[in-house]
Amino acid sequence: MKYIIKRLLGTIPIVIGVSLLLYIMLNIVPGDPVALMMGEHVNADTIERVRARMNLDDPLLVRFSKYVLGAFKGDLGYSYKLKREVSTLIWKAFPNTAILAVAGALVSWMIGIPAGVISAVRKNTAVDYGVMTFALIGVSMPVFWSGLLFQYLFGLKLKWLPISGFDGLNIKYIVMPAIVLGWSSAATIARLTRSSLLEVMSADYIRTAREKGLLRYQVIMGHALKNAFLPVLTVMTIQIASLLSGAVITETIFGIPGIGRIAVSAIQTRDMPLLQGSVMFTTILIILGNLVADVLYSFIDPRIKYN
Amino acid sequence: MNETVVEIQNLKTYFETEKGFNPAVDGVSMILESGKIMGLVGESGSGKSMTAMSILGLIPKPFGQILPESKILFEGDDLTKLSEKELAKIRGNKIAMIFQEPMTSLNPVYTIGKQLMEPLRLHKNLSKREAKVLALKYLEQVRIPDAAKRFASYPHQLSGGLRQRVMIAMALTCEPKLIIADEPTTALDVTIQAQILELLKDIQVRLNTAILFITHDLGVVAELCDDVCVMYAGEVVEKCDADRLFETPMHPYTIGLLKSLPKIDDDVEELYSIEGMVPNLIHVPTGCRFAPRCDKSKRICFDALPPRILIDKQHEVLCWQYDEGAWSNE
Repeated sequence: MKYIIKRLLGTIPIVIGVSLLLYIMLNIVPGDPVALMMGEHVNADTIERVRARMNLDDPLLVRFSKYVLGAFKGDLGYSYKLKREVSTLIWKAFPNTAILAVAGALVSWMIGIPAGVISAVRKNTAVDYGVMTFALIGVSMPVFWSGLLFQYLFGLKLKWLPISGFDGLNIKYIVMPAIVLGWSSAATIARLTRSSLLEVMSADYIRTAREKGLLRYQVIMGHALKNAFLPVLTVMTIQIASLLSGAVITETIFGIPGIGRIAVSAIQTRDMPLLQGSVMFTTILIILGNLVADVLYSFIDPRIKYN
Repeated sequence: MNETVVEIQNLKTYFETEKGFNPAVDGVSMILESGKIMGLVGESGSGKSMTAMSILGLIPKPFGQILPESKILFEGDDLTKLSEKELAKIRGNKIAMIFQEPMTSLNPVYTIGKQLMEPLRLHKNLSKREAKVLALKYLEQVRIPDAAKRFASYPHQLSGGLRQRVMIAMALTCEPKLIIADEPTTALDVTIQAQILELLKDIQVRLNTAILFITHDLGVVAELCDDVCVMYAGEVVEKCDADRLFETPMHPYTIGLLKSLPKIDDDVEELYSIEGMVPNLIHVPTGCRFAPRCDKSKRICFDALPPRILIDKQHEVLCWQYDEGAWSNE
């Protein structure tokens, strides 16, 4: 518990550092935000007035400190284009992203872990090659392409599922994007599970387990999997953290109003506060994901104890 | 009192490699008796460990295989012909093994207790509570201090010596007929080594178990073993009583090994060592496998396989020297 609090406190400088970098970079980008916000038919006086009201004339570091103080209070600024609070926009989009992320992650685990185990157990057989080829296809197919293929096949031709759109927890709309999203990371998880399990299978304690009279499958289930799972777990938590911060392409293809979509539209419209907000959100999720991974580690592997 | 537990006849374990067949174990025969410790001595790569793994049927397949003419007789069965399932019932139950690396031979993610109870639950069908009572008893028998506390410990919380004691306790849990100890003291420091050896000796006396003790340390053999097989390049080159081995070694390889032992009253600059290396067995020589390194070798040694000569009932040697007719004709 103490460790978790310590780690959480330790993330604060990281978050501030990342946001400073981001703030500077976004300010270097050419283009005046006020001019962008107000459109073309506004005179220079008005622009000056609005600039002053938004404190845009202050030095960069002063503005940044104000931003950070605001962020701690949950105020991430105001979207130029959408004319709403950034935090509100993010919180509205997050559940949609979360549903997609969880569904996608489940698909990738349900395919990836068994596939990895099977191909490790049947190493160098036709089954192994088959599973790994399937995994290779998953890795190699970019989401935007497989997404379109799925839409064409299951949406347009077979008419099994709606082509795009989103309706909360309505499973019809989730299946296709979840499979598209899950397949690509299933492949990574399958390969990692396979290599990790193969490595563990050559360990001395596996030989000990065999010598005790356990059969091969009992050894794999009872002694090898738990050890082989550690590196897979790391990838799984980081994967879900990055999925939660928005599957940009999948959300765009399937028209899901999530964090990824917000970030894309913020880039397209030069909506700096919104972009800053969504990237910050991602940063925090990734950091938390790593923390969760570390904590879960200590549950699986007794050798890891945090003090 | 000493009954035959395992009889190995003409064991041949070959490995298929990229360059061809490698006879890791080539025609080994020995008898392991209850209440006796058989030492199996040889350099790295001489086939000691593979002999042990063959007994348990743990040769890595499909690269390694036991040739059909081999026989390992145990309780009326030939272990080389048993199915995987039948073998699993014997492993850890009637024949148990202790490995060289106590640091890595226990599963890091389970407690000592869970791992100790595993063979009991598997072979004796005991409940968790019954298994725990027995496991604790064996932890105490291998003199682990504070056994009840250690029961809940994880391997990384124990020292190497303690872990090896746990491995021994685990081997004992089902009261096996034979314990195979594969260099169990090599990774431990000398004082701990002595304690572990003493413990094994004690077990053998108390439980009348047969022990096959694999080592490259002749000092350990002198201290512990009743009988010895000296292995070289997959063959047993000399087999006799342990005392005899040190008093009257006969095979040139054994003599070399004994010569290379440091002696406390000798003041030499450099220790004796046998020239050359263990041959690569992919190209099996036509004659004696030790001939290229032997200081006594004659032409016949390179030309023909040496005979297995029985000096007397207790002493067997694989060397042309003791075939008087052939040797003097050279």
